[in-house]
Amino acid sequence: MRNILTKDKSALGAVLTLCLATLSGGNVTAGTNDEGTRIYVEKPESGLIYVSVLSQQSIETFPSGESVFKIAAMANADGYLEIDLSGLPDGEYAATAFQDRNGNNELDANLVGMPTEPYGFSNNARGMFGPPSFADSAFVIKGGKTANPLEFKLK
Amino acid sequence: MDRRQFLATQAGVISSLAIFPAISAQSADFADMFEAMRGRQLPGQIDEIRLSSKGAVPAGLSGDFFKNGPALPQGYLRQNGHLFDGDGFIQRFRISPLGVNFTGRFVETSKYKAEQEHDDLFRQSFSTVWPDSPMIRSTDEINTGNTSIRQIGDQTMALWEAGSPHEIDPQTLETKGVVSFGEGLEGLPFSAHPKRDPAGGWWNFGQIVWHNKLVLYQLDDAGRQIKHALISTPHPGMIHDFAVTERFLIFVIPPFIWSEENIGPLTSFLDAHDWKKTAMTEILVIDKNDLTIARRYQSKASFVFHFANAFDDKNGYVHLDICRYETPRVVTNSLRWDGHSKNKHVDDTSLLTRLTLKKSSSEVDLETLTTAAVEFPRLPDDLQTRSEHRCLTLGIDTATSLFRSVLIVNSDTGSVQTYDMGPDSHADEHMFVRDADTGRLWVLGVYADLVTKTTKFHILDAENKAGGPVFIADLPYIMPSALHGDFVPHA
Repeated sequence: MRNILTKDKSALGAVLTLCLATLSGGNVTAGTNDEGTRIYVEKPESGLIYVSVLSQQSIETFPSGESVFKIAAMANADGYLEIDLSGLPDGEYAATAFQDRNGNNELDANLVGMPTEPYGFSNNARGMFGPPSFADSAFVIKGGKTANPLEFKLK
Repeated sequence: MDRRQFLATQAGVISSLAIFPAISAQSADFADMFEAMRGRQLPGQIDEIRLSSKGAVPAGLSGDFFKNGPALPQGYLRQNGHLFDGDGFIQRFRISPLGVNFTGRFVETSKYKAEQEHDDLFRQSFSTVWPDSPMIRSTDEINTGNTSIRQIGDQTMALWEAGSPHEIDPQTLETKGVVSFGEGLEGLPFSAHPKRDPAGGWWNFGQIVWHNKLVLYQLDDAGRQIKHALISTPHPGMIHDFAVTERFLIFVIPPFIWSEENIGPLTSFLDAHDWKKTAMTEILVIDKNDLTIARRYQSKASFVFHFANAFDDKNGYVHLDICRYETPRVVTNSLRWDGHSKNKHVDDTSLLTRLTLKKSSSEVDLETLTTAAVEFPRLPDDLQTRSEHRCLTLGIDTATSLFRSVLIVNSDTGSVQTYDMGPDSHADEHMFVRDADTGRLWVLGVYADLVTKTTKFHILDAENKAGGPVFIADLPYIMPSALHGDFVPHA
């Protein structure tokens, strides 16, 4: 019954706003991505999608921690933002993303820290009393590819 | 048949206290009521029909009588585990001098829409978690919108208590979407008991038990937020309703306490609560001006859903009337379907009790106002928070636990006027409605006849209930009992 971010209101907001600081490390591709790494949002026209990928170094602090990949981009007309993670070294990662509907460059939350803009985690992971764990959100990259197509929804 | 004759055949009318004759073996009981309500699956929408009726609608009573209550959509294999689990279903009785039309529709919440798509229940609810229930990110994912329907300003809203209101089109009963009262308040709970302030505007609260907090709202007459605050509570006990006086908001917080430690993969919201009978009921008196805690009181462990009258006196004392239970068994046991549907009656019923909070003491005086077991208290909306002595309630037949009578309790004298619908009747909340032409009070309500399997809508004269209904209309089937509602006069 508790919202995922209630333990620490700033946790997801902080890590996602880091995206702004340095946008680097990946490419946005327009067409089909071989690795099938993409994020879906219902109303693509409503704002930039901020994506942040964290490595195993952030297991303890997830979803806070240092991003190894960050991007802010619009989804296409079908609602998809395809991202290219092929530049990342082999390893286990977890991703978080939100849509900045009001253009203030951060994930907004209500009085008790529940996000009020669409957000999500890789594997569509959900936490019971706070954000999901790194393990629940984790995916593997090997040889520049994810083991399975990675797609998650922001809502 | 003339009106007098028809009224005499409707039901036995008694005028004294709620002491009922012995129940015959043929009479319906609590288990029969459960059986009748539980199996009742409803279509998404019930087309508007004119009800067959007897008597005449008073000329000053044109308007929409809205009710909302939990129900089960047609075609599902799973059943809800508790009376409070069901999806909100709006009932509208459109009243005019020509008669009464009835229609109904489910509140189209995100839960309702997802389950319609899935063709069965799967999201968790008040008392039930299914093995395939997803973890929830926001309470609006499990919001059933099933507890009340109220009009504030020009917005008609289906209310739950742990999530956002849903705006309802009062003509089509279509759900327009969730309502937020401003930036930072999106997705926060807004209880099913907003209170109109006779001085203008509205008050309400939302409880966030997992934070042990209450969000407080003051709205203007149009429903726009004037101010809000987030306050901490002494413990996260279940809160359904509150009281408003000229100076204060009052919260009574039973030691029926939610605990994170109780949570497991299949633990429902209800089952995460413990009854701590040796702990105290905490009472908070909040200053309406700055929304801070002005006084705190403690009283012995008790449980409450509903508040009736509340007022301040010249000594600075606060008086509030509640339907007080000794335990929360009504919610933990009696209203559960599973394992309790054989109950012939509820073993802990509520008594209308006055709490007096003195200015200089943290102690609470308790006084039982009537020995009749009652629930679902309503005052005339325009007299709430003032020293109004008439409290409209449903009388509980303690042998069967059915709400078989309508009582007006005089809280000054303890005297009770009763209209008894009969042993097979089970009513839902009745309300006072003021006649637009004459200013007199009428009583409007609905009850099920468990033997004929019909639903009745009736209008009683608040000044002369013993005279029976002045108007009664029939629905040819059982409707699941609603919880709370509203009357919206036609322009």
